Amino acid sequence: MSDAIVVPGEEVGVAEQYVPEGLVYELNGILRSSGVGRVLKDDVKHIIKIQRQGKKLQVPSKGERVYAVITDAKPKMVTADIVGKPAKSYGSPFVGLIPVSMISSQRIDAADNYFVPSDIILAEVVNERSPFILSTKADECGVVFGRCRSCGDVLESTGRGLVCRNCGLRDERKLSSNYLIRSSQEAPQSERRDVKRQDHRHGDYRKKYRRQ
Amino acid sequence: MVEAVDSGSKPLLSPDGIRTDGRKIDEMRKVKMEVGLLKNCSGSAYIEQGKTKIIVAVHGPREAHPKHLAQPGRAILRTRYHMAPFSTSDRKSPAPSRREIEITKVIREALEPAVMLDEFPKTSIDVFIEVLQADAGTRSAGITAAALALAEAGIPMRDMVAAVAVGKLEGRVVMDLNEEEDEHGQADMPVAMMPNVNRITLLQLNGRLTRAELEEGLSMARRGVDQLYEMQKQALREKYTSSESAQEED
Repeated sequence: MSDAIVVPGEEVGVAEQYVPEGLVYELNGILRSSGVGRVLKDDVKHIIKIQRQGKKLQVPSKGERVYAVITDAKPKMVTADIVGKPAKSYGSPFVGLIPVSMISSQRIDAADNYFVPSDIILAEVVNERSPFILSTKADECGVVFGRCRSCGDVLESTGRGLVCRNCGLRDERKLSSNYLIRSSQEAPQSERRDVKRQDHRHGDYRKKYRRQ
Repeated sequence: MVEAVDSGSKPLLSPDGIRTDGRKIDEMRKVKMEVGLLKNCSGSAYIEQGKTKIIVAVHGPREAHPKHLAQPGRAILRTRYHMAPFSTSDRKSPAPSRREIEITKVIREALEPAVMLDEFPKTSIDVFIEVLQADAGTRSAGITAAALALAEAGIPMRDMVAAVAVGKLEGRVVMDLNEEEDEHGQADMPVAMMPNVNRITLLQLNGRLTRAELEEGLSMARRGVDQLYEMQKQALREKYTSSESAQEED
């Protein structure tokens, strides 16, 4: 790695000698820097690139895990505002799209059954450029915080789905393994099979249900 | 009895080629550049060229709003050249004037060839140029500082852009006019260049120049741009050679 810092436009090599990679471009056979950084030359693979110095661009990149807020959910497509990545928020949100085929590794008929506007999700970016396509297929990806479709209160994870802590409505999402709000009654993984669904109903919704 | 001062009678250039502020004809004003002053934007730069003082902030790339402005294959570059109300001797209305709208356009066109806009489709890159104190050469100093701020923001660029104005005083071509020379001189020609790829991105002419004077002016502008480019490199290197900012920031 060279100690000298190059700035945009500076000549860093020739096309006959190196293949340009990150932040290097070729113009009339000459390789020039397109950013501020240090030159990295691989003389074995004949690759040249610039190691960026200073601020990283606040743009989602391929393979990155990002947080997004669902803005619209339709059966075939969900749109979301990408607001940031773990421990870093983007200045202004970017538009993200989640096609129905990118929600889960299992078959899903309607995307709007698994995401609701206002849900906060963790997702993986699968392309380089806007509009960013997001995938929630990984276990850690999916809804990390959701609200009830009916009353808007917080949904708690019971281990077998989501339950509204106000109205008791049961709901379904493509859940992240890191869902934030967990029910105190949530059973350990080994005991979950024995827990009856009715045990998790509480609040006004259960009373109303009984009266009927 | 008070004698009236006739400023028009004072020569702007002495017979031995010395200007009113003591500079030679091919000498630029003192230039100071600084990078990364503001924390709430993607990149920022400050320039002092003589008494002209300009601060530039860059935001982006970010989603283009309103959406209909977004281009499917590239980012849009938006500039805003604005003179602060206190930047001139008389109060300047903060509303954008005809002149500011024109300069906004020419600065955008001077920067666009250098910025790799096709890397960020459907986004916008916003460049805010705020003139704090005006003493001629604001558009050229604004371009020089804007290129610095774009580089600091990490936006890929084909080359830096630097700009300087050349003019004509007493029949001779001079570099980097100040306010007095701009007002009473015979011509003013701002030139912006990409120094490494050797491309002119802005060329305006106010006044008249002969073909020989134009060629002399362009070669003089080239020398000025080279000086400014070296200062730009120095400013960026100073910013990133300090131990704290040398690492890539998240």
